Amino acid sequence: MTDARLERDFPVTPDRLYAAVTNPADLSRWWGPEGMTLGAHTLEFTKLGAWHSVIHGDEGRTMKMSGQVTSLDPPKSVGFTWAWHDENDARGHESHVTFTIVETADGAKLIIDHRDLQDEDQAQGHSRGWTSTLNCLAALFE
Amino acid sequence: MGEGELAAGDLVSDAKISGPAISRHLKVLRTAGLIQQRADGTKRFYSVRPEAMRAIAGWTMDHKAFWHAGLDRLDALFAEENE
Repeated sequence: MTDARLERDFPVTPDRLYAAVTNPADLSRWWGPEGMTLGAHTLEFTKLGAWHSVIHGDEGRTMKMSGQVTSLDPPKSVGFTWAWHDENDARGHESHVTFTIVETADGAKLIIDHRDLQDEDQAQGHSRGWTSTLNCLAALFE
Repeated sequence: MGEGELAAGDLVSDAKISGPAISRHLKVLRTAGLIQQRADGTKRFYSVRPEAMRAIAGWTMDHKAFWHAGLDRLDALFAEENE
């Protein structure tokens, strides 16, 4: 198991930042990578309970993830579980995400802790392995 | 094969590995459902199953990449608001 931590400073108040990472209207505006479209979703981190989201990318690429909001401490933190669904909609390994908001001199900081990830090296190794396999295959068949 | 169906013989002549090695690779890919085979007389033709390739690519993504992208968009959202 491994953990990932990301931090970012924003020039807004802690309350605004907390709202942006918990309100459905705000979440739907930034959830997921640029260039991918948010599909069906329940993104409401203002109350305990289930959430899910589907994200559509280029070339019909679709990803789905879901979990439960497990802890709420406005305007400081929110915690939820996370798992990707596979192509048969089966829920995979469950990990844990916490958003923590800290007031700073000129705004607020968002800390994202993504814990209990499956061995990242193995996961990335698999994905790299597959990618390079498929690249080789693609080159072979060009 | 990226552009359509290919005969087994063409795959062998294009590749830098031996015919039997190609056959083994094709069998693994076919068993995994990534490619499909069609027979016409004694010839074998192979083509990619795009939906299977997409399933592999679309299953998951790096978590850090996911959050990084989200933080960038959140940044842009606040910048818009503050204008």
